[in-house]
Amino acid sequence: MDESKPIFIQVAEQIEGRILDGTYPEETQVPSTNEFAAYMRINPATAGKGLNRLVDTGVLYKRRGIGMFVATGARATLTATRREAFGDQYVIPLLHEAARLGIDPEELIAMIGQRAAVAGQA
Amino acid sequence: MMNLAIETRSLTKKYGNTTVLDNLTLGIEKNTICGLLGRNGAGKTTLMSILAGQELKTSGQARVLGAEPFENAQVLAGLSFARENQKYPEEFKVSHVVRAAAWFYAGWDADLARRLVGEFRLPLKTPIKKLSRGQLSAVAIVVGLASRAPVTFFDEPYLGLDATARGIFYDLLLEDYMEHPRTILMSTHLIDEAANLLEHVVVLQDGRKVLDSSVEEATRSAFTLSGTATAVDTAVGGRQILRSQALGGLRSVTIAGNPDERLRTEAKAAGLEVGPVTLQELVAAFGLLESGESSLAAASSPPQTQHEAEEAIR
Amino acid sequence: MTTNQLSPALPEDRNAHRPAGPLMKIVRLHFADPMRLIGVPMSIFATTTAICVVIMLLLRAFVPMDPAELSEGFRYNQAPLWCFGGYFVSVGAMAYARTMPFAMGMGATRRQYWAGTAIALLLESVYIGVAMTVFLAIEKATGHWFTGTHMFDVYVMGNGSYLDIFLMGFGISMLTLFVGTMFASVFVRWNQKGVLLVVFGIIAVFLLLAWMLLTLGVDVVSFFSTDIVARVAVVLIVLGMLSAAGSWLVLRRAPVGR
Repeated sequence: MDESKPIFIQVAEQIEGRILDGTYPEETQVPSTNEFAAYMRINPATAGKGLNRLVDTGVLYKRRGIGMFVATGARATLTATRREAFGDQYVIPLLHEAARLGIDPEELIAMIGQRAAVAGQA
Repeated sequence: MMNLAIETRSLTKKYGNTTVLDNLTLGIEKNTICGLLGRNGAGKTTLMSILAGQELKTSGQARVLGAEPFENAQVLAGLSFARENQKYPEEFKVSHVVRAAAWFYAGWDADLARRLVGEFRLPLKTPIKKLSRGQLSAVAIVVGLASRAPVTFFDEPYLGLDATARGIFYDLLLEDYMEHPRTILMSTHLIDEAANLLEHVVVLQDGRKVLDSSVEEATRSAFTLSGTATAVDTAVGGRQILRSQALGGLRSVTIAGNPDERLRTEAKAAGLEVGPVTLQELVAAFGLLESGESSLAAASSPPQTQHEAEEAIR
Repeated sequence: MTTNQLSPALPEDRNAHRPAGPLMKIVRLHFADPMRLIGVPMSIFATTTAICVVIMLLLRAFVPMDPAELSEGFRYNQAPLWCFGGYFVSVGAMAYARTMPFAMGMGATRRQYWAGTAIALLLESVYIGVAMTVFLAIEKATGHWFTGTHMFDVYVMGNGSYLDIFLMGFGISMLTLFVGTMFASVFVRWNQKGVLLVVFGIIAVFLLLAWMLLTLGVDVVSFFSTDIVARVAVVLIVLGMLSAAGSWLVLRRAPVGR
């Protein structure tokens, strides 16, 4: 988690992460605001704001009197959004650091291929 | 204005020639957890004791649950305030305190009290005056939480408590607050660990309000700028510097306000880093202000508006 | 509240969690620790009586006097007059110095605290009056503690009169308790300086009163010549009431809890 982000965004990102890794499958209920607040030791208003952000983006939807559920297609939407952000969020800093250390793009690509192969074997 | 649990207008308190609270105007929304922050001597305890009807104000207005608290039986019946150096009756044991507190509160939860006593491992048969600093704090926490008072003040409730006990306090505070929402005003110096519990913060400095906003707004009300000293100085321009640190040719400054697009672009071009501040850094930076210097209080929007905004999001 | 019906209190007191009325909560608070107002005074009486009995036995063993004469001499014993007053002044003082900040932290008003405390201290005075009356009866029934030791059946307490000893016990308690509250409330509001001023003020008032009584030729001696003990007790009670009223006036706008 990025400590510099507001807590409610951290809450939202954490839930998104769990939707992506399948912890919260589509059309299942996610924990309540209070449960998130207690778990993360944060003010329930902050937790609520995080959840509501996901309702606003259509990742979650509310069922009156029951709670919040993961929307159908949420995983696909989140994957798409994250894919879009991937370049900025991960590749650019990677290139930046590589440039600082004098690793040229070819070397970098080779390194990635090598690691990917190792990770694939494991 | 009816949804404010605590409200002051031009509240002033003087001891002789010393002004402890200076023309303080603030509002704290009902059923929120609000942090009261600032350096020692900023006026936090004095504010709480005026609101609790213990200390007399010099001028201005103080309202708790819509009415002047001084000698107001109805208001005070719903109020709990344990001072950091709370006095207890001579010879009282922990059990006496817990038993007597039950007589004072309509909402007293004896089960919660017993649970808290257990969690903090408080010795019931030990006289109060033989307790350690941490145990004294625990007694105040037991009374403050189990009272379920609609308005509860915690005055540095963590003093002497170890990390485990503080964690227990934060967890139980949140748990009970969510089950029984009420207005909680808590003064603390351990801002980093309490910040996430808070919805709203009021920061006092020399008896004046320097910040009154939601925690999120607060952390957005200043930012850090770091890089080479000359580039930083150029980028800062006329902005108010709250705190400045130098290391060789490098400089890091905390600046009041929001980093606008122009500044971000300039900073990027000059190889400067723009970063957020934590609440603790912000409050610490305020503590460095000389009295009389301007603050962000005027710049930040009034509390009602923010709460309405947050209400809408909920 | 539902929580109260559901939850038993701490193991030692099943009824403890019921909230009390605005004055009762203060009265109960004063009696929450039963030692302070109930146990300690009794132990003071028991110890003082025991000491007097020991002195009597020593006198009997070493002084060549008729035991009946010694016993009569013990009628001048003033122990019951002085033995608990000091303790009660401190009890009254602590009520304001320590118990009041506690009660106010839990949302009591000054008015509630003063009135509840006045009720508690009056109950305490009745308790002491009744206790001394009962002790007098026991003393008479046991032939003065089996040794001819006069402890409660003494001149200063009305020489065996049940009404007098009750009034004296009540009056001494009331005066000492409320004087304690008054000085503590002055201390709470104005610190040592205030206490000193009040002490001098009281001395001045008494001197003025004495001077007025003398110059006006009021016959104080004849007022006290009949029913002296009962009349002294009434004076103590009146002074106690004045102290209670004084505490209120001082306390009404005093800062509490600092």
